[in-house]
Amino acid sequence: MKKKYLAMLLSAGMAASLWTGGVSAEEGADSGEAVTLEILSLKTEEGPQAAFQQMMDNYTAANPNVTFEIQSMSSDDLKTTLRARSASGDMPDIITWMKEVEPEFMVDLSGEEFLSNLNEDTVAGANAIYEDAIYAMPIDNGYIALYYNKDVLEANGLEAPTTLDELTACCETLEANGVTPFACSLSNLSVPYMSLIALFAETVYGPNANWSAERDAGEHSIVEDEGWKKAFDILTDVVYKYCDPDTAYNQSYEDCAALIANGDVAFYGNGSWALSGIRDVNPDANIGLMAFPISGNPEDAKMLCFPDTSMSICADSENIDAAKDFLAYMTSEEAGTIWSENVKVSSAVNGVSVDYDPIAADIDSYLTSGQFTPYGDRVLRSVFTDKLWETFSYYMLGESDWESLATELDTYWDKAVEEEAAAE
Amino acid sequence: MRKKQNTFYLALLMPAIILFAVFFIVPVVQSMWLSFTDSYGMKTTWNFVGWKNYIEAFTDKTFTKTIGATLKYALITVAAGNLLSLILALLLDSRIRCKAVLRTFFFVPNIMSLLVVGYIWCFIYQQVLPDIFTALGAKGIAVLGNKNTVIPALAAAGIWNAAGYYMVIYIAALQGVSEDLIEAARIDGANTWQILRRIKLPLISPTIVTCLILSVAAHMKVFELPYTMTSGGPVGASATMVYKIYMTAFNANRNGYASAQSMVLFIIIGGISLGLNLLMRKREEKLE
Repeated sequence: MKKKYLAMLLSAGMAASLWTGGVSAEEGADSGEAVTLEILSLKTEEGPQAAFQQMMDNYTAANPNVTFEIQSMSSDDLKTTLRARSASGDMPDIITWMKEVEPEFMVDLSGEEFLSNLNEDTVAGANAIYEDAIYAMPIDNGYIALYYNKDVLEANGLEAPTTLDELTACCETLEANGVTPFACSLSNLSVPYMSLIALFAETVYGPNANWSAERDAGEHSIVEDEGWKKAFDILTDVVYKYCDPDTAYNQSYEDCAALIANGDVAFYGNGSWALSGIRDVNPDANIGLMAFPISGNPEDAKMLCFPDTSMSICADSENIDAAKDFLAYMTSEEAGTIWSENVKVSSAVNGVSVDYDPIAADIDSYLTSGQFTPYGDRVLRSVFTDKLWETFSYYMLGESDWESLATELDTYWDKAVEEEAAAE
Repeated sequence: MRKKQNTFYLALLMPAIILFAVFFIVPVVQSMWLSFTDSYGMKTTWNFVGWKNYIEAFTDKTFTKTIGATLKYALITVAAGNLLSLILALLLDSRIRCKAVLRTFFFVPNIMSLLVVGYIWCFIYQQVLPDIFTALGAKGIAVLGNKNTVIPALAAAGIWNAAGYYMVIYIAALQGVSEDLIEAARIDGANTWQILRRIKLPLISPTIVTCLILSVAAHMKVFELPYTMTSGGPVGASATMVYKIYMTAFNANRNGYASAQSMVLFIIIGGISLGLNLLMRKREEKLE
């Protein structure tokens, strides 16, 4: 009989432990007066991590009661983590902004004085998808464009191409000389996808910044749009055609950076985040940066430049004031310089001008001449970009014709609009 | 007295029932409910959309294609994997030397995470194989880049990982076969092949079916290998159902649609397992 009661007691204890475990964790969260700011970041490269650490150390030195816990993870992991944590009401204090995070989970920073330390256009661009609210505080400007190795071109008697015909001719000459023109990875499709983003930014949004709004209003369709077709065609007929498809399936993102850095290829389409990888392989690589030539007119080539890394404060944070104060510090010239030097990007902080890389001059030439477009995939809805990401290679690899692909993309554009409307 | 006894048994079962309900029943019911909604990303509100997500699942070519890819992967891994496991088990059940060492050697891949296995095989396919081809003076083959070879290539990694696990189960079953029966068969003049075909295999057939059911369920849910090795490519040829569900839920943020896709996967796995179970029952009846 005693055994029976003991067994019942044990089983009741096991069931109760499920409950008590949760309670003790909740109690622990409130203890202590010092503020610990938890940051979740999608910047996994060494440069941004070092920059965050330096900024946090400096801030803690000036504010000893504030300490930090930072976790860096891939954007996919961050999305998953935030989804789970938002469901359990356990959001961190600060996050690197993602368009997938709903506004209800972020603090509207409108009216905050420290925002005046940032470039006004960059702040507006980073918040283009919101109406009269500022959820994203941009700290740098990124780009997606075409890296080229000057030494490779020179060794083959070539100059940097300015038109599409010149680019094709360059590739023909390089191939004839036994040099692979383009670096491309087909095992990591994000590599050709970056080129596609730069291309449709130029061919679709370059000539018409309102294309998305007009598409929503039913004035255009992807299947009938020459710009979209041209972007896919250049990706297929230039980037893919002039890479080495056999080795591309065995090459990673890092391999591509190494190829351009070591002068094994002449061209490589990717974003600002690829630069630190290129410099890690060969700090002295003689590389330049240009917009993809998309026609016979050099002025049609507009570089995709956009507000990149942005910070947001979570609405559920218990340390909103401390989080705002840290964000204010991030807009200081000191923090802007730390970020720009480590991450090798142009800062969004006013007055910060760091000569972070020789290619900065190339970017400046596009910005100062107004030959840039800020609209890439970040202004597109994720239901659509998911389908784009999933199917873009079908056309590039000859598995799908333009009609089928574009019709499917149109369907998903409409679906994205429909779902957004239903959710509102 | 009986009532008291039942209460006692129920109390003993309660922790397990609670755990099962919290971690299995509730999520399945929630997922089922979500599949009829337009739940999206981190949005906290959603609408009931009826069968819309299911209709989309069966008309979305990129999803229906994943059903084919998953079945192809499962067919190769289940058939070849179980055959290999059985062969290894038969070898280790014989009188060869270093049995313990070999058993450990074959089982080690199974203790690795499939993510690690994915990275290892990625390295083999992308670095080692091309180097071997180059050394032989032949042109390298991008096995992960060819839509005809990518699924068998992933299956090879899956088999390598799982073979040791099923091998252990088969060894246990083979060791349960009475030595007397084998001895009697030998006296009657049966050779090794006849003993295997007429005695060992029929006697371990329930174990074979169990392993088939377990491996179907495990391999139909493969996610890590396409995630780490191919990102579902080339042209979606290696996108499995779970990979697609993950992408729908966490890339496209469409929780409702992803839940509908999950339910389709659940029904397919349930159907196959049920079919195999019926097969086993029929076979058992025949033996009786």
